[in-house]
Amino acid sequence: MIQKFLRRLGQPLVKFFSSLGELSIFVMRSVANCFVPPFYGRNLMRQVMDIGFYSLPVVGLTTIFAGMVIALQSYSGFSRFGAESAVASVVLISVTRELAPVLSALMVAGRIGAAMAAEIGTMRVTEQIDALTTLSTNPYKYLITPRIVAAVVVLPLLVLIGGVIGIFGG
Amino acid sequence: MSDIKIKITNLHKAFGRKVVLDGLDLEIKKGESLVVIGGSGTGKSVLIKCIQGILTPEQGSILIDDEEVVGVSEKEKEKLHAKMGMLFQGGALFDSLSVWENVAFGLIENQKMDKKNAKMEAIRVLRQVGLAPDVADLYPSELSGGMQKRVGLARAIATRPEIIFFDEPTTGLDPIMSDVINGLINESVKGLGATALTITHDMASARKIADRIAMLYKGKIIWQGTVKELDKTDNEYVRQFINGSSEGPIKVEV
Ligand SMILES: Nc1ncnc2c1ncn2[C@@H]1O[C@H](COP(=O)(O)OP(=O)(O)OP(=O)(O)O)[C@@H](O)[C@H]1O
Ligand SMILES: [Mg+2]
Repeated sequence: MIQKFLRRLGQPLVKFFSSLGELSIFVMRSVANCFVPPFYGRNLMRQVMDIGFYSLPVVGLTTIFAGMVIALQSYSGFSRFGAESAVASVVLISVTRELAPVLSALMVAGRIGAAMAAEIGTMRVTEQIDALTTLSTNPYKYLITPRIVAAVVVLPLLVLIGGVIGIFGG
Repeated sequence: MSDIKIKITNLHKAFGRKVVLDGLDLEIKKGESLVVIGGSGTGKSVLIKCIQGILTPEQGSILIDDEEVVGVSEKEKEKLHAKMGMLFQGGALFDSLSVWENVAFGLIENQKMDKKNAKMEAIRVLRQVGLAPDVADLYPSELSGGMQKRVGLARAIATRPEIIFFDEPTTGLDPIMSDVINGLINESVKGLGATALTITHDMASARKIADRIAMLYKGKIIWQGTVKELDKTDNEYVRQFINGSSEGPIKVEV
């Protein structure tokens, strides 16, 4: 009885820690591979386009509306105190400090995360990842590293552009 | 150096509780074309993946050119893969790359050939497997199953490897194309002096390409011999398999 209970408790725990371990090994290998040649420039460019360029519309759309809404709401509040002149700086600060980074990150994570999982998952089941290995290509370097590097490089740029568009919206 | 290219001893591989390979022994000589036959799900593909180091066996040893390959580092494996080619059962073509980029992948990434020459070489190999040059710019999703198979074959032989693995090369092809592929396998094995390990269910194909045939059953090699010996054997398992009969010592659980 007690043994059964403990077993039921222990199993998920062991599973949890083993997946935690797997995840950390994965992260470590991926990051380490960012600094070791060979580098796949073409894959990197492709990911930059995918993550950066094709995310512009969603990021632009969300930030422009966020900017507009903040301007509208703060105006209706501030006008009661006759502080309409503060609206501009409120929009500026809230968009650049908070909304642009959060919204861009969320949009990119949502849009790209799902797409990547689907793509790499498909490659796994159709043995394309094994095929990479048999062609003496490290799948980490070929698939994972370009995606990480592209995301790291492109996100700040997206935030910048998102910020500009948001302020414009305001 | 001995004339044995691949030597497998006492190989064990299980997935969880399911035992797939159970003490398998097999030797492949240099320049030899060995065909492995066996029922569906007996672990033929798993055997190839163990040899390539994609799967790690629990126990046993695999020597390639007298060097142990079980449990070696990633770097060593990469070196090892440079002298191997593989045709996957499902093709496993990269669907984000065009046909010629698939075929030339090993040439560009490993042998550092420049793009123009690699493309020419890819088109040459494609022609060898009976595909027209205008297929080169299509994507794998735009090809028929049989064409994908041939592209996979082209990719496997493009780097002129020392060891080539063919996982069911003729499944899904018409009889004439099968024969072309058989001829091509013979040609690449004899022409390149390569050692080949082929998996197949197609007995006609096995007879045509095999120097030696081995039968896998319940995780072990239960019979091996030449094509001539195959026809004369009184091993009931082998007889049942080549006659394609549902009656005999091999029971299929439905
Ligand atoms: N990665 C894996 N994880 C778990 N089980 C696996 C894995 N790969 C193969 N198996 C199991 O191993 C057994 C043998 O599979 P394998 O693909 O080697 O069969 P096969 O002999 O190639 O059959 P077929 O002729 O149908 O291709 C199957 O029962 C399969 O379920
Ligand atoms: Mg198989």
